[in-house]
Amino acid sequence: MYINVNKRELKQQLKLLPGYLLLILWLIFSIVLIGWIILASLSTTKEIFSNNLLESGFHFDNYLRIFEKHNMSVYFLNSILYAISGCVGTVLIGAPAAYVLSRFRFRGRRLINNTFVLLMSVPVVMLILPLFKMATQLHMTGSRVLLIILYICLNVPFSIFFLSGFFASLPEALEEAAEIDGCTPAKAFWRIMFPLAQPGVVTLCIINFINIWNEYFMALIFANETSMRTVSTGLQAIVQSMKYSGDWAGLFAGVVVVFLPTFILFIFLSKKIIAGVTGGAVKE
Amino acid sequence: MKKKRIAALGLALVMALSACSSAPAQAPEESTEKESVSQEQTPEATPEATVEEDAVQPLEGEIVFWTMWNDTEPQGEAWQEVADRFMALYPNTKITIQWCGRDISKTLKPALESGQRIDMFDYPTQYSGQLGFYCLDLSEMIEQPFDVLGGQSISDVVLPSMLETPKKQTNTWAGQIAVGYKPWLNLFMYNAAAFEEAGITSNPTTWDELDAACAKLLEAGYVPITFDDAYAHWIAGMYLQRLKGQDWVIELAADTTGEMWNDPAVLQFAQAFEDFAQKGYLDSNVGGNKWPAGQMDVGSGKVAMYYNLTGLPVEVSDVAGPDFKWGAFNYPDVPGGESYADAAPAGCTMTAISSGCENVALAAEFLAFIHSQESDDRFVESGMTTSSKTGSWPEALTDVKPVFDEISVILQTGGGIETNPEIKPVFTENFIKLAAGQISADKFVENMVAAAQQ
Amino acid sequence: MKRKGRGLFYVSFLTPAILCFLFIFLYPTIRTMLMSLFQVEFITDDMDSWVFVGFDNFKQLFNSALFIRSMTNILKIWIVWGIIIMVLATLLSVIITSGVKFKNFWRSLIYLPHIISVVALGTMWTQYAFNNQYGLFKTIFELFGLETMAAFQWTAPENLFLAMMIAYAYGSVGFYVLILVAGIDSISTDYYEAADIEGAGNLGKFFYITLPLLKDIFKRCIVLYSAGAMGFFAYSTLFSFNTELATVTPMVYMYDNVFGRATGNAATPLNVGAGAAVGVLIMIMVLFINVFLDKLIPNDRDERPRKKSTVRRGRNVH
Repeated sequence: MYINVNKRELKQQLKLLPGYLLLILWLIFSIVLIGWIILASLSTTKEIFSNNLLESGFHFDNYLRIFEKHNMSVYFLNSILYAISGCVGTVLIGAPAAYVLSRFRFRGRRLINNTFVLLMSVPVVMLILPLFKMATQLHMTGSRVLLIILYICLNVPFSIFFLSGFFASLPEALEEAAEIDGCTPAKAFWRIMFPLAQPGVVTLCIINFINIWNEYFMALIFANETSMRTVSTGLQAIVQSMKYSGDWAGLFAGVVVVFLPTFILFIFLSKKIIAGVTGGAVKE
Repeated sequence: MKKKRIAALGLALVMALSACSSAPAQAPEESTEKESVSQEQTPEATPEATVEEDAVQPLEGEIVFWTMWNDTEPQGEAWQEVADRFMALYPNTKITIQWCGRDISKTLKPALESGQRIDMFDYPTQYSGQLGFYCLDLSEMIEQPFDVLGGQSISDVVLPSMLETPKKQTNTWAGQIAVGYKPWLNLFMYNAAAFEEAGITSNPTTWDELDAACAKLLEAGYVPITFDDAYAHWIAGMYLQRLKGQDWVIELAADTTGEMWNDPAVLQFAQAFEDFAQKGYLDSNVGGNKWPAGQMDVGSGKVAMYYNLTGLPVEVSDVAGPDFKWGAFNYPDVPGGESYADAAPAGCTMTAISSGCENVALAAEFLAFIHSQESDDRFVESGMTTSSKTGSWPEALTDVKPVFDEISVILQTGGGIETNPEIKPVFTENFIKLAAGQISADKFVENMVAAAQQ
Repeated sequence: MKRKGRGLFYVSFLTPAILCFLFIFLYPTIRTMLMSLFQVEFITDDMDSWVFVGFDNFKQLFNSALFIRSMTNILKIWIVWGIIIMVLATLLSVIITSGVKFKNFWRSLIYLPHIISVVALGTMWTQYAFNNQYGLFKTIFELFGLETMAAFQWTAPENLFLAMMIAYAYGSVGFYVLILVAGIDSISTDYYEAADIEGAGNLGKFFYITLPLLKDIFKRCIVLYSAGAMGFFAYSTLFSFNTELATVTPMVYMYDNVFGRATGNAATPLNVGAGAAVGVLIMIMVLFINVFLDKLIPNDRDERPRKKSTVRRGRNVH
């Protein structure tokens, strides 16, 4: 297809030129912005503030300092743990609920639906304080399980909201067909509907994963010991300590150390998103 | 189904991992002494701690210490070293430091309330006296002799302000709620080399002298003064304090009628800075300086003076370099105001021992160890000011010490203007505009009057 | 029998979600709402130490110029910038799906800022992009000889809000682009082909096909944006060291009252009841927004022919 660039295609692409322009502008801007951070992480603080980045060469020692002083692997492992369990848990609770709420009519459905939408926008700060009190009464503070449960539950409303659409768009005939085949509704769900909603589930997982990965506030309050810290609270600790000791180069190095794996993870997963979404769109 | 299997596997993994890493092991230390509650209950009801003198068993046990530092800061590193040295000295002990960072002001009280194990902690000033319930009264402990102090007591070794300031900061006058370290002051910090070059021979003590000094600096090619958005209200509020005293400023901040803002004192204050702005004494970027841009300008040598904490040198040390010499002087007296040469905003970080601490003897030893000469030297090395009577000062701050010693009256930061959180943003915003030359002194007063009335 | 089975099915599928709702959302919300009617000294205080003050907390809020300002800020964020961000997201999504090459790359690129930690982004913007001595914008404007633009003080109090929102837009638009692109992609190409045959231009296709069919997705995006906007907090704290008029939002105000934000040694008084009151107000606002959106863009799920399936929704006849 690329070998014979026929006139028609060229004309089509030219029509899209203004679009390309905007995209390229965005690209350049992003490169400069992120590129600057990377360069700053390799300079010294003095150079950063006098805008002479890299004047004295590449300072990889900024990164060494980060790894020496911070147990980054612990932070990463924790974040992965929370994010994965959060994703999985949310889907396990949210998908069935979304399915039932979107495809079956029963009393109270509207109410439950609206409540979940409302809950999504309750600011987390409002919930934290009584939650903390509950947690301490149950003697759960100091355990990772607490934060996992919280991450799962807090993302349930969004998951339901998100998946409802996907389930609603599945063909009506499915339930009937499953019933004819002798499946219980539950089995039908897990064997047929759920896999069909895969693109939605995949996208949801990724969104949840990233949200939990970057989540800061809950992690700060509920996982406040160094061994339980996540990447985001770890980064904040790094940033704080670098700010107050005036080590801005180190700060940016910390930022890059945190950002890079997330970025790579994302690139890796984005292919899956595409596969999932286009796969779902093609299914008829 | 494949998905289900993956999900189940995931959950299993989660369970397994969390099982292996649940609550930190509770170290069952044996308390080697009895706690006795003193007969006279202090009004704050903090239980007193006494240590039995004849407990000669070797020290052992664990102390969990929550600190406001981060493990990556120079100060944090110093703390870790001090803790390590203590553990080397007493091999059966364990000091576990929880690095809370500045967020300790958010995480400490909930943790204390929930019964999490905390033996010692840096008492955050944000709580004023609210944590008194969780602190042991250290009055007797600071009078006891300790081996690590060469037989002296904590009160023998530390500066008197280290015992006074904690009381003031927490507004807890009965009993010793905490012991301070790393004292700090708000002073005009300046580039000593710049001053020398400009031919300024003595520290300015009045506003006119400051004016003259700025003129000389301008001639020598330096920008005299700058500030950041974060601390703008400090340099501003202090002028008002110098003019009318801190109590008046606190009243001013709380004023809701706008009348106090109409006082000629406010106008004088606004005009003084308008004047400085017009003369070019204030950096052209003050209108938009986002912390730490302003203080970095000082470190890089572009600007000569910055009104801030004595901790400033550490924060800009990377930019300033090892050869940077600092000078400092107290906020000058202003025309029409009294002389306040010995008054400056000051405070200190402080350590308290939790009332839930089970191994008080160990905590006491560690507290004393912190104030030993060796530990103090290490802290000073990391940039902290000394808490010890006989301690030395960081080299870059040697000229600051004499000024430090002169201060005896402790003020609130910003001269008290911070006491009303509602008016502070308006005040800061208007001040920044005034300093940037965007509004006139009259307009400033007008704006503040209007704001106060809302 | 089948009825009973169905009942169990509903229950088992819905219960976990409902439990979660009760414990993690309902109880804390009610408790916090109660708090707003009391004077509470600290967040984890036991209920016995609360002092009933009725609506005093709310009155205090409306008497506070700072709080009023936070409300106007949040309205600007929600409405003005909501529109700007949605338009931008739509524009970008349409461009991406209109046949440009390397579609996946562009989509990933635009989404990228969303996954970068806000701490990192905020630092980038305040210390580099908007810097008034060597910043990105200053340099670019100088390059093009636009002196007055170059001297624009992005971080001065009067421009800070604009600066912050630009940064916010950059960081959040990608999320909506992701959703919109997925939505556009799911529109059957048959429609566009039919439109082509009829001779419709690009704009026509957009307004008569894309937009209507995306109604549901748009609503979804708006709901999500509103939820995010109400909780606007992180960027405010990054762009302002102390609470400033330019960047204060209700969440920031609440945070100050619940956790306190002292610099130096002046401890500001905490008022958790007021903080809780702010939370209640935010909740009420969200409720209104949802009702408003529901009326504005009614759910027409039944009309949305995503698949070619022609089986109509029938009642379950058993």
